Amino acid sequence: MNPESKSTDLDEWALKLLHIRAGDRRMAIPIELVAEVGTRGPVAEVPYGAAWLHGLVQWRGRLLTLVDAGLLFGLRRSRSTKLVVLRNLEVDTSLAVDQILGTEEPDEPAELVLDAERLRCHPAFQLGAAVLLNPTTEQA
Amino acid sequence: MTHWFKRQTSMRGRLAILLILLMVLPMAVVGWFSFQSIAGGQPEQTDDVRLDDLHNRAAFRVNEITQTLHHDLEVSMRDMSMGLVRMHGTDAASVSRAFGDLPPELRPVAVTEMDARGRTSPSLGEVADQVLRPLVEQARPVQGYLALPEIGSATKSGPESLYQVAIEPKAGGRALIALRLLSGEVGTALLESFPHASTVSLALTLRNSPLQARVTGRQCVVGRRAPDLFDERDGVSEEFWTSAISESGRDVVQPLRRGESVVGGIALRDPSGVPVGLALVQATDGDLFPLFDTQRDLLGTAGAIKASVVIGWMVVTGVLLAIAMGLLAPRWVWRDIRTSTDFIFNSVERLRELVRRNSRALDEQSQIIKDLMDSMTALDKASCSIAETSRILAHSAEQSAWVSQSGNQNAETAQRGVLEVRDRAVALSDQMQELERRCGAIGSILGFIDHLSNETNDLSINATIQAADAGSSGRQFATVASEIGKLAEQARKSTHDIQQLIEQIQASSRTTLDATKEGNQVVDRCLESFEELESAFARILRWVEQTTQSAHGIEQSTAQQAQSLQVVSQSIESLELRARETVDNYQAVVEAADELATLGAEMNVTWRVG
Repeated sequence: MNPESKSTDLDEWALKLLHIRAGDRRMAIPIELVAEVGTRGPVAEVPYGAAWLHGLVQWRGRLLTLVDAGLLFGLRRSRSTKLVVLRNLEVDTSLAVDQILGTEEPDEPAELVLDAERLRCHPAFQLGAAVLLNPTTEQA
Repeated sequence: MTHWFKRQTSMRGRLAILLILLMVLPMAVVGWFSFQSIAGGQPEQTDDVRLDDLHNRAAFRVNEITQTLHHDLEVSMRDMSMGLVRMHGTDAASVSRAFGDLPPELRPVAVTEMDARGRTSPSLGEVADQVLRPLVEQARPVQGYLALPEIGSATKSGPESLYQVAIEPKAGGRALIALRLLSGEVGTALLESFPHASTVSLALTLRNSPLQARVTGRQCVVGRRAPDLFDERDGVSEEFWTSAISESGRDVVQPLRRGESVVGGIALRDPSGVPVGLALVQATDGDLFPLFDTQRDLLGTAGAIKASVVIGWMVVTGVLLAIAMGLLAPRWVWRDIRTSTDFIFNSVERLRELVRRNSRALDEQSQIIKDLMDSMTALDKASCSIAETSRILAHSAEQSAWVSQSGNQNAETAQRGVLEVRDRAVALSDQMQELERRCGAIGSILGFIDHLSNETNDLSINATIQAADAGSSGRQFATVASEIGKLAEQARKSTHDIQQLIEQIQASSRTTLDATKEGNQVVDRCLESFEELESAFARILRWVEQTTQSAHGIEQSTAQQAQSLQVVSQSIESLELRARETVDNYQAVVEAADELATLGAEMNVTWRVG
């Protein structure tokens, strides 16, 4: 599936954003990057993982990395069990957020829009980033 | 007198009267002489030398007689003791065997035996038994002198005589007693053997015995010994008694001169030498009344009269003996009357003194009674006020009891109310806890609803995403999903509101619960206070009951006291009345005595003139 062609096909309502709150900041994620929202189950921690890597979660039979959106883009760690499953990225990953506000435009605009370019340049959303960035793994 | 003489018209009558007068006048002189000689004794022996001689002779006689008496007594006592030793019973044969060799006047008047129970057989009379019992109980030979009622007399008031007593020691639980009368002959002998004394008295006083015997003339008087009998009037002073029994060697007490009397005594001793009695002899030289001593001066001029009277006596004795004797008699009567009037004089004086003293004593007694009456009145008033006070006190106490009881009832009512409050508080507390529990349940339900609304919200978002993926055909579905998301948001908000309300309710119920707990504690303290109050009321009630009883007791006591006071007061009033009557009677006696004295004085004057 090609994201470029897809975005051109979208209607005005399809270009809508999903508003969330994480790390005391209001953020927005384009709908085409969101597969699903929900409440996560138990998290398996990754040894020697990066600080923003929360761990691994089971989601509908798949294993997803859980990246802390509050720590990565906001001011502190996220404290909720809410997660946003992302799509159209190199790796199957999910964001741990504080609150999911919905697709409706809120009264106050989002401070940060997590578009595809911003996400893809970050190692958290690149393949194998979780392991590579581990210092111990690098030395090995 | 001359008129009466002249009225005798008969010459023979006048001659007869003159003859009688001629016979009477010498006889009057003779009578006067005889009167003086008899009244004054022997006038030529009235000097002190003769009197001393008389006293000395009397004293000698006293010594002699008392020595004789003592000797006789000792001998008879010894005989009696010996007789007792020989005795084997109280029957006539035994007595005869024991005392048959004694002269009749020395034999005992009674021989009896006393058993261990103190009973004599044959009976001697109650008084004799009582007196003899301690002597018999000593269980050793006892000899002495006892003044006892007449043997066989059962009462103390019977005539008493002096006895010599000898007691044999106990043998088989009984003792023999021999009593010999000591009155009569001894007194008579003393009286007869004392020629110069006109009064002789013999007193036998027994040591450690309440009785004493006195013999005056032929009259034997036995009576109780009182302390005043030991005064000098009877010659038996305390010192005399002491000197009599402490005389060593000789038993005879030296005669003492007391005024015109000669007194002698002898200590009576038992064979062992212990004095047990005192025999006294009092001899009075001259008459009882000193009147005639003053008339002795007249006797010095009586010598010339005496000679003429002797001649007259020789002339007319034979003729006029009968008439003279007839005329002498009144002279004796006059003498007696004179003596009596003087006696009356003295008696009246003494009586007057006595009455004066008695009147003074009665006045003092009246004053004392008056004071006593005042005290009694004051006491009566005091007791009345005490009774009134105690009555008021009892009334107050009863009222207090009533108040206390009603207070106790009020306290009980209040206690019941407090108990109800406690029960209700407990129920309220239970209800509050139930409310808390249900609020908790509602909270969990709300949590579940919140969870559902969250899920619904997520589902609506996911549906929106899915609708966006579906392109334009998913537009309607996206709208529905958005609506569902809004509904879920509203449900979440409502749940939040409900949660807040429930939290407020829970906070209120917790506050109520705490307040209820505090209220329970207060109620508990209140109940404790009520228990204390109840016990306090019970104590008050008890005190009040005691006070009431005490007040009633005081009231009754004071009432009785007042009654007693009234009785005493009446007695005192009657006593005072009687005392006043006595004073009046004494006054009457004094007046009568005065009249009597006046009469006596007139009589004396009349006789002296006559």
